[in-house]
Amino acid sequence: MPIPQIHINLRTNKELRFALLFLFTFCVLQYAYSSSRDGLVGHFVIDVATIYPSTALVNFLAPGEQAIASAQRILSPQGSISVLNGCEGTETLFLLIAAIIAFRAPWKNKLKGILLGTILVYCLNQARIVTLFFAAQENRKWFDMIHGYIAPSLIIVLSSLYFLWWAHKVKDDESTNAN
Amino acid sequence: MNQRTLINSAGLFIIAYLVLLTLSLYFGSEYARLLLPLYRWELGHLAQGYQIQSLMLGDNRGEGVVSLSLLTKYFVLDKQVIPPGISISCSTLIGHAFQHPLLIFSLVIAWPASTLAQRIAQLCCAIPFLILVELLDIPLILLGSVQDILMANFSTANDSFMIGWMNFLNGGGRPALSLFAAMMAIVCSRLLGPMYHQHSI
Repeated sequence: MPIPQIHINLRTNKELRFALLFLFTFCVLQYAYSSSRDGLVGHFVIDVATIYPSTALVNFLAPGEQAIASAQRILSPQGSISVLNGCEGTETLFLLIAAIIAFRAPWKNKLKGILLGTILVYCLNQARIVTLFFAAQENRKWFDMIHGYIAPSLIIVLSSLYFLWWAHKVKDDESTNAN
Repeated sequence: MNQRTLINSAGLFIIAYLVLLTLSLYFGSEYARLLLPLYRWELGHLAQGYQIQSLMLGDNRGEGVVSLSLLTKYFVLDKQVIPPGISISCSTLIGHAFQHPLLIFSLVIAWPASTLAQRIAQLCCAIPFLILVELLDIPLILLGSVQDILMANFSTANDSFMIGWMNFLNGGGRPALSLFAAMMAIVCSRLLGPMYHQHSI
């Protein structure tokens, strides 16, 4: 039965192409970021874009905390957490960007997907840091559970669901335009 | 992919993730303990310049860790002779070990499959890839940490393949590897597809 065989091969090729392009793009993004992380880029991503907004969010949610941002840490009289390399959410963002780039779609749709995805990952990561800050003060066990077990995979799972939605929307738009 | 398949896949993905996450919260340490012999075997082959003293599960300020203690033997690192008998200890989070099954199986279970046989094939194909990524993670992270410590003390260079790999995994490479492994498992199950279709007929 040659026709089903060809169908399987084409589908497999597409999946293999996606997997390889995904990994390659992620490695390029990761390498580029790690090469420039020690300079201004790192300062902007970790201090300006991550720690200051998280501190503001902590103070907004609990004004009594009187939290301040200081040298990659969120400090308050009740406690503190360090926001280290890897806590800034770029890893999930790069995974999402790599998946979107690897997916066959018009570039306009890819750019829209990346823009919306960046906002989503950024908000999720801010929520993660603020949750960890409060968890560290309330209950060390909760902090360990969220830090080591739940948060790392939850952000990726939510980003994967966003990717699934985006890819479906792109295909839907394509078929609508074709009709 | 139609709307129904999308909702089914997303639903399965969430359910699989929640079930696996709950299992990992209760049995995460047992899972890591199962992998310890595999780690020991790998480290025995890779850490030729060291004498491994212990590899065990431990606790670092309340967080579960896999910890490695070893002694250096006489060897050369980046043109520097490392004296024998230096004791080094390092550790990495247990959570890293089961991020792999969490992501790989969630994705593989949720990936659309036309038949139950295809879904089972996807799951079976995921197992060797899971073992492979586990071997590429914790033992190499631990060896990378050891090299990082040694280089900080005995070498002017601050980079090596192991340290680069450790930084790659800690900087997002870990989930990337899991997702890639899941996709490769799906590709392999598709390649094996005609075989199990023939057997099922």
